[in-house]
Amino acid sequence: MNSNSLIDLKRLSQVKDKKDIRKLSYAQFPGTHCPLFGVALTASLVEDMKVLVVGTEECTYYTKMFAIGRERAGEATDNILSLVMEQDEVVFGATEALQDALSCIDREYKPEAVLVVTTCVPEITGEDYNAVIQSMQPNVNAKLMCVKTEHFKCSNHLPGIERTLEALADLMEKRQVKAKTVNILGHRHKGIEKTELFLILTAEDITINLSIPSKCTVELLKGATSAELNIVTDSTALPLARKMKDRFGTDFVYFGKYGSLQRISDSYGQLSFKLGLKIENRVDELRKRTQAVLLKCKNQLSGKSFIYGNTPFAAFEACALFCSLGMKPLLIQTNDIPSDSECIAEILQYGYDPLITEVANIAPLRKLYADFRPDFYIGHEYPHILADYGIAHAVLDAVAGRLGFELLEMTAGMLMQAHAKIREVNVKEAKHAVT
Amino acid sequence: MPLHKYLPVPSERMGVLWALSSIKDAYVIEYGPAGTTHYGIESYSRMNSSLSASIYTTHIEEDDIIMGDNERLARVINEVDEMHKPSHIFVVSSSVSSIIGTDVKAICNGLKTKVNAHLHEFTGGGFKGNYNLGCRDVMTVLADNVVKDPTISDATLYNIIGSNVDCYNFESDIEEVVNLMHNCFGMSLNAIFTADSSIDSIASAANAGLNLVLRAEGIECAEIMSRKYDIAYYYGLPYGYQGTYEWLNQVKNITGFSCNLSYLSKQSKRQKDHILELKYFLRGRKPINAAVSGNFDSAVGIAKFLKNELEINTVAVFINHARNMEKHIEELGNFANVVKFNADESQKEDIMNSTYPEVVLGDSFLLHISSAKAAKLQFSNPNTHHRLLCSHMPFMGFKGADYILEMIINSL
Repeated sequence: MNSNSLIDLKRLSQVKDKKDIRKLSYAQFPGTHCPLFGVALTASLVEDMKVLVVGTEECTYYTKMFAIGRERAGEATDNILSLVMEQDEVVFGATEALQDALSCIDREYKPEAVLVVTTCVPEITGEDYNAVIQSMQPNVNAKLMCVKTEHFKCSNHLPGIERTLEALADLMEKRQVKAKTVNILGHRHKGIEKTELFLILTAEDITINLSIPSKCTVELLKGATSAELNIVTDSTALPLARKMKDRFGTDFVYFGKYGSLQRISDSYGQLSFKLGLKIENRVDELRKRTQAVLLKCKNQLSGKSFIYGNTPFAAFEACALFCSLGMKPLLIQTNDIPSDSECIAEILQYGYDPLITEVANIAPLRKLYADFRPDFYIGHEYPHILADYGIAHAVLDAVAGRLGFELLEMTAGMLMQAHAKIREVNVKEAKHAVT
Repeated sequence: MPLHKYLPVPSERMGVLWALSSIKDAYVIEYGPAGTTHYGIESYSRMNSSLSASIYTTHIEEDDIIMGDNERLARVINEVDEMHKPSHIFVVSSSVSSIIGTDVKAICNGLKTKVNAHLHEFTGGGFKGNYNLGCRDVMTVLADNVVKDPTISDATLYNIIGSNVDCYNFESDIEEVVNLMHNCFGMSLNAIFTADSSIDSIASAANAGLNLVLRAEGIECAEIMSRKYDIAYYYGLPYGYQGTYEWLNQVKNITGFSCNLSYLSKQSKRQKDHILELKYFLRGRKPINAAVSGNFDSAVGIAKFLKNELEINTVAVFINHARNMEKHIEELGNFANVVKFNADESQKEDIMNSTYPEVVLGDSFLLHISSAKAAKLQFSNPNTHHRLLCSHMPFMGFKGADYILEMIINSL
């Protein structure tokens, strides 16, 4: 272990649960995102809903900035409003201010719903905002909901996504179930209609009722329960799926972001079973096509080492995929060790036993680049820093919008692209050094 | 506790972090939830700045809050001290650590004999006021604790105090001040408090013979250096043609250096031509109104240029923070009745909708709510859209006057 790291890390074979994930340093940079960010990512996709963030200037300002940026990029709607808690509200409470704000929003914007988002400060002061909105509900037309996002109780932004999605269940009404109609839960990207999953389903005359949250409105959410089946494409939507099952009896299947051809085939198989589809041939065809792309990728990348940061996949799902391409994991950043992960077993079976460390702490990691000399860094990092070490940089955010085998095809394409790019740079620099 | 449909006024904690962010080799430790640190780090590019300081978060968990366990902060300070061996560590409380009453000062005091770095605490937690006060506090702490005794005394060196990353267009404005000082007096820039700066350059600030204070929040910093090292300072901003002449004249009086007259006469000729062009352009038109917004000094400074030199009446000068520099307000004269401190969104909308200014130099919100027909220039933060790449397009100085005048002529 490099002398720059203060605490020895455990290897994959040695970690059993979250407590075994050691930090590279106590000082963290940049640190994890908080659940408020998760809310902003999710709630801004529901166009006719307003989101009222209650918290400090900092929480509200940066969330609004983020929402403005997303709207400008055409990714979502800026539906964020802010209620800033100053010293008086911290000491004397913010109930009255919240009531006034909700009345004002209801009157001025006439939204279908308002999601009140409490942050660290109101959760420390301990006011019961759920009670406030319940007491306010008879006085306003908008449906009121509340989501808590205090960061001191969780380790990243995902609970914010989960809770926002779960809150949307409160907008749903019991409806007559329509056969061959499904919802897609957890997809947070525009263009659901272009995804492989969508195209396969619609070719089989399956109607996509809603994609929650990427294509829905408060009004449409009322009718979410008319779907025969919920297809959960992101684990953050599982609490919503469970709630819908409990409350409305809507069955669900998990069609996750898998990194294995077999697991994707199995997911399609499960869908076929639930919906009575005849898609075996199409699925086989897609599987073969993807297999060919992965083989091409393997031929190029086999033997390349990598540090794993983050991707839209679960950490070990992604790393198992990269190992299947012949790539060697040196260090994996993760915030959890799933107890029943077949992916962990797969990585170990490939003969790899990478170091495990906590996510979102890249500053001390940088001290290791010179010794580790990874071929790839997969995840968020400053590109110029990686370029200085000749490390290929793959940011796979864009694959998050893909569902099915296409997810693997795009991932493989992006890895090959990153590899080609850094190879070109390295060759140029070598030539430059010689001359 | 107003409802904001746009952006709330940033807090003093945000100002502290912004002012520190641009100082190379400054080590900053935030004691609070990691999410705010992460959010903040992502904001620097939106301010057309990059992160030069090393910023860390301790993160904080429920157990720390319930049990009042401060060990996490001490551990991180010790680690940063040992690992990076910085000369200075800046410890910034969060709203969470402030509310639960963590005595960050006491923790740091307890560590001062155990770590090599000098520890400086900012304990407002976001409840002390607006962002400008955070900038002030940082500059004051730097003057008090980071600036070292002079190793040389060079009257041709000067420092800029009060150019921080929250000043939109800071990079171009600094370049223009540097050009003015070089072309007129042959003087060279020594240190900047705090944009595009470093701990080493700030530590050497006492080597300079003059401090140029570009915002009121830097006066305390300059006064400390005046008391400790007898460094003279001049507080003012070079906006407009005449404004820049006056500014240079004041610098001349303070330094005793003579001005490069050929440079000034060339500028004078350009100025006359440009003002004539505006007058020709405006002939027969009804008087033009303007609205501006920004930090106190920049908004008032640019309003004076519009009024005094371009004869453009300013109907509103929105100061994007609370009133806290009373002694300077007296100098506003004719502008006192149009200067609005911390006007809320509806007040701004009411004023803009009732006055329809044809020229708007402001932040993104002011530009957003102004008439589509108005001549608009992003002049201040918050800035939601505009990326700045050039460092040669200032608002200050002769070039800045040219740039603003050109924008007005071409946009109306």
